[in-house]
Amino acid sequence: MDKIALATTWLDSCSGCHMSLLDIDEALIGLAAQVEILFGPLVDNKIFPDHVDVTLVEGAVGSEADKKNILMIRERSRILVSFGDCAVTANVPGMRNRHAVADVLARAYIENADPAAPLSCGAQTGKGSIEFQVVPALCSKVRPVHEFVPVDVFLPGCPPPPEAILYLLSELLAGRSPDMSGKTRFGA
Amino acid sequence: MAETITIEPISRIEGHGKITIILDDDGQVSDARFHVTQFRGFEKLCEGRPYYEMPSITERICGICPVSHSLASGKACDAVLGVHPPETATMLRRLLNCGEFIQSHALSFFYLSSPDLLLGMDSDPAKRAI
Repeated sequence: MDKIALATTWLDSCSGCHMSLLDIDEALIGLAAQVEILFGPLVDNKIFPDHVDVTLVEGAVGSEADKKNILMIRERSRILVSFGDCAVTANVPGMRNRHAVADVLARAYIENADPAAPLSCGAQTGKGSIEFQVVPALCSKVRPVHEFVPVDVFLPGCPPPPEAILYLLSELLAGRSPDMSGKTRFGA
Repeated sequence: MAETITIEPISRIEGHGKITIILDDDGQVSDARFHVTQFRGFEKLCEGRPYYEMPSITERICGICPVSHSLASGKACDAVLGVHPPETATMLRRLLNCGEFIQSHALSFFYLSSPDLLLGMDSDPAKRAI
């Protein structure tokens, strides 16, 4: 049997769901015999492949780059999994939604800045204004993945427990639709 | 001609980043920058929330090193309340922190860096991507 092509990605999130994936521990060895991880933070590949069987998407859509990436990933993935609460509900990243982006940025980069600290050479910091140049611009609201693209499987949890991730992957490998009820829940 | 080399995404690191290297007219490096391409605004989103939510919210800054954020937040909450944890609690926190060093370093080495270091940067990417 050909190996199943798996990709993983993290958008606006903390990496915790990927850590939970690694926490399936020795089951990774069995999994490695059945799947090939083609793309993701755990492998060294810069370009998302043209065709992937399953993509686990951790994180919400919080920046223009996330938006662009999720559309591209959807196009190239047969099965797309909303992997964890940030993907499913926007969760913690979505907590900034009650503030304007300018206020959120100002809090971190202007109000909290140490005025005595010297600017690093090449820094573009004009006091009082923040411009996005090389880093992606933030969306005004952080939203869950399914608001941008159709999602095939939802896997809640912050993070989803390793057993639930293993069950989901095993079911998908067996060609079944995983029934996640009772196996994971929102929050811890 | 001045040129910019972009490396994106930086894979196998604990976070979201990219690198730009700016070359001058002679092809020499004139500047190199590391950019963190994600921003969630914890500084703002924590405002106005109950202090006892802070350890579990700030743990979500990073799922790889949640303990550091939890402990820092715990210390801040102690200061807010004006309380001093007993010595045993402080020692338990230190132990927890040491546990995280081990966990995070093991993760960084075994899952992220070691394939490149042991098999060589130029080895077959399919093999390195274990």
